Amino acid sequence: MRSSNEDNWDSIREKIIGLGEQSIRKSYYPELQQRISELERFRALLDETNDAIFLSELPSGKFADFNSSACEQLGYSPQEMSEMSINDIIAPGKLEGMKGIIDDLIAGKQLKNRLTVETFLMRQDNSQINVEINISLVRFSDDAYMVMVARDITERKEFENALKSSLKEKEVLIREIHHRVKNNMQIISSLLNLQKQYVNDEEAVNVLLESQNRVKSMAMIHEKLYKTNNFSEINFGDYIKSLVDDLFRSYGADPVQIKKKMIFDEIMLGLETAIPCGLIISELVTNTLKYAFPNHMEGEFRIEMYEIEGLYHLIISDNGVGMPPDINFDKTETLGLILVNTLVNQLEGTVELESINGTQFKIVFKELEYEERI
Amino acid sequence: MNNALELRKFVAPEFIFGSGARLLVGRYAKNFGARKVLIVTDSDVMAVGLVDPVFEALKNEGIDYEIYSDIKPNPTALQVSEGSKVYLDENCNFIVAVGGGSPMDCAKAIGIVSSNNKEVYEFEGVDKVLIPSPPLICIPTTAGSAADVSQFAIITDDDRKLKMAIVSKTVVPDVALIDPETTLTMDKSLTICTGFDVLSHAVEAFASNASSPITDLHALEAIRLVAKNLIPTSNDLDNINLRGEMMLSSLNAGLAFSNASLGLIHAMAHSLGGFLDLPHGECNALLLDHVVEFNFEAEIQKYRQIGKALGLELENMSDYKAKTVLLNRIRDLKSQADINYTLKDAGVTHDDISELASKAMNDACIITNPRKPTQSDVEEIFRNAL
Repeated sequence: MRSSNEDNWDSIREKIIGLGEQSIRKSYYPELQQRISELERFRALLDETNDAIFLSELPSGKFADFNSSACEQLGYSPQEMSEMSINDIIAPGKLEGMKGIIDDLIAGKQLKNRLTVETFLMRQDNSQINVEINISLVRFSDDAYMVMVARDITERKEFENALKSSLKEKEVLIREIHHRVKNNMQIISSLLNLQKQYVNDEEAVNVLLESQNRVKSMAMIHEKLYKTNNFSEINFGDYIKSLVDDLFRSYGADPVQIKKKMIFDEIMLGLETAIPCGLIISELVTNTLKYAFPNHMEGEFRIEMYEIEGLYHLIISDNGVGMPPDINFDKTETLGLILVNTLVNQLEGTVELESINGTQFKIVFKELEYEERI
Repeated sequence: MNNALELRKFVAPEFIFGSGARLLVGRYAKNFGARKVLIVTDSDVMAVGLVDPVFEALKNEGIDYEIYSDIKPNPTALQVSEGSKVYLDENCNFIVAVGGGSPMDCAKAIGIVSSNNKEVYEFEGVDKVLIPSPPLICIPTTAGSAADVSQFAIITDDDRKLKMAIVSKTVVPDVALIDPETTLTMDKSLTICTGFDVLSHAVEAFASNASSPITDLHALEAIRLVAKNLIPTSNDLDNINLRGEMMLSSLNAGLAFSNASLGLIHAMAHSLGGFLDLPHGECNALLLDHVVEFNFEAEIQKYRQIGKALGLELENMSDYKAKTVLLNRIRDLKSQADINYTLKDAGVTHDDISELASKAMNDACIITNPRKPTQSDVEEIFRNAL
């Protein structure tokens, strides 16, 4: 019997002669075949994407490679494409701009440079495609290349434009609505004004004037809304100034007798908050103008508004005669103060009355969150 | 400069010689990453069952194959392009040639035509192939052409009626599986023709101006083996030991001529074979002694060594006497092999000679002939062989 050692020697001898299973001369062919199949799979991956992909040599811009989408979208055969460069596919009007962008990219020299530009490519038949191109620089050993991935954004652009024009239409509509609301309120206010002239009773005149001013305070908000391009908010400081001036005019207040002092932060308020807030101001300013400075007494009216940590502080004060001691602010029966209370509640805020050296109302509230109504 | 110091290169494929070598084709195909093999062979080789073990071996390794067997002796450019179409259409990535010089040369040409995507005409000459053939395994079934180890592929151009010599390292096969058992099916005539092919390979490689000490070793051994075994083999066709000696002779001659190249015999034989569609070995045999006669003075010492390898004692003879004895030895061998006829018998006329000579002058093999011939020299040799 042969020993296993002898068997082993025989098998090693066979291998030395070159008859072993693995006794082959080195060959890169199997490895190469595998790499080629990998490359073919990767090529398919590139060719099956809808984006047009180009690899161009720098600085010439000549195409070194491209996928089949690039050929299809531009209408060139791969042979034609391989003779072309970036300059042949950028639409004439966009070429200079594009060159500038590419030069900047190259000058940057950083490998991570990539950017996205919107431009037009030109097809073989001279028609143009609106594209968004992602450009990046890559380096293979000593050679620099640029990868461009171009996506046809014609549809997206059409969609965007449709959206924009639809938005524009709606803006016009909203502006129109605010305008009409304001006009209607103006009419109500004029009606009240007209009515006022046919009434002799002073109390009735007063009631009509107050009502007129209340309507005006609301109308002014709609006016502010349609006169600016912002339909969701108004600059509340501007609004207060107009409102107070209007009330002063409406009560024929003498600016020398009653000096106005208005101090505001830059505050923007939505319609939901602005309307009740405007009404509150209208009531309290009316209150001051009617009662604080009797008999041409001189004094100062002061209105301040500022924001601290999301809370708005509205302070309306005067150094007039002050509220009569018998008035209980919480249990008042005057419409004006009832309104103020109701509106402060609506704002989910608080109101404090201080009667030292006149009257000071301090209202603290925050912007109401819009609640959708059914 | 001493001959041994001249720059020389020796290229040979990996080869396995011996009984059963052809059965290793499955393993080699697998190790080379073969997915689908084009088997290039001819109908005669198929008919005697020499390709069956190749089918079997590939099946055992689970490798798919396609067959191209429409090859006649002296393969043509048309057959090459047909074969290449099969290779590409069937998405092959590997070639196995089974047969004599014709299928092997055709397989080499199919390989380079497929990988370069060019016409075979564009490769005529030396080093004209840019991209190598896909991996090629050759299983020779004759002891003659040695295409399984050589950098030559000879393809017939029917239009120009000549044989194109394609000489390129890119057509050296990757592996040669040289199995003497495959030669047992050769009849006497084919055995003799291929034997004379071996002899002319060896003689021309040895006398070549591109020879080297390494090619000389192989060339002389080939001459020695063929001189000793050709006639006995032709009279004892089933003797595997004699077949083995002849196969070894062919391999030695192949290693020699692939690296030292050939000479005038082959240049003239290519011209003749393209003109008359004669078996290549027969063309060589008809021209052998006439070219030796022309070349002798240019390399007297080398031809004396050839004589010695042929079994002659030439040491104390004058050059003239040695030349006569050598030529007689060759003619004697031809007559023993029944090739004692002339080019005229083969169908060549005086009118053909000028064209035959000018084609021979353009063959790549003429470059390394030890004596640089003129057109009229070549015409003269043809006339002598008539």
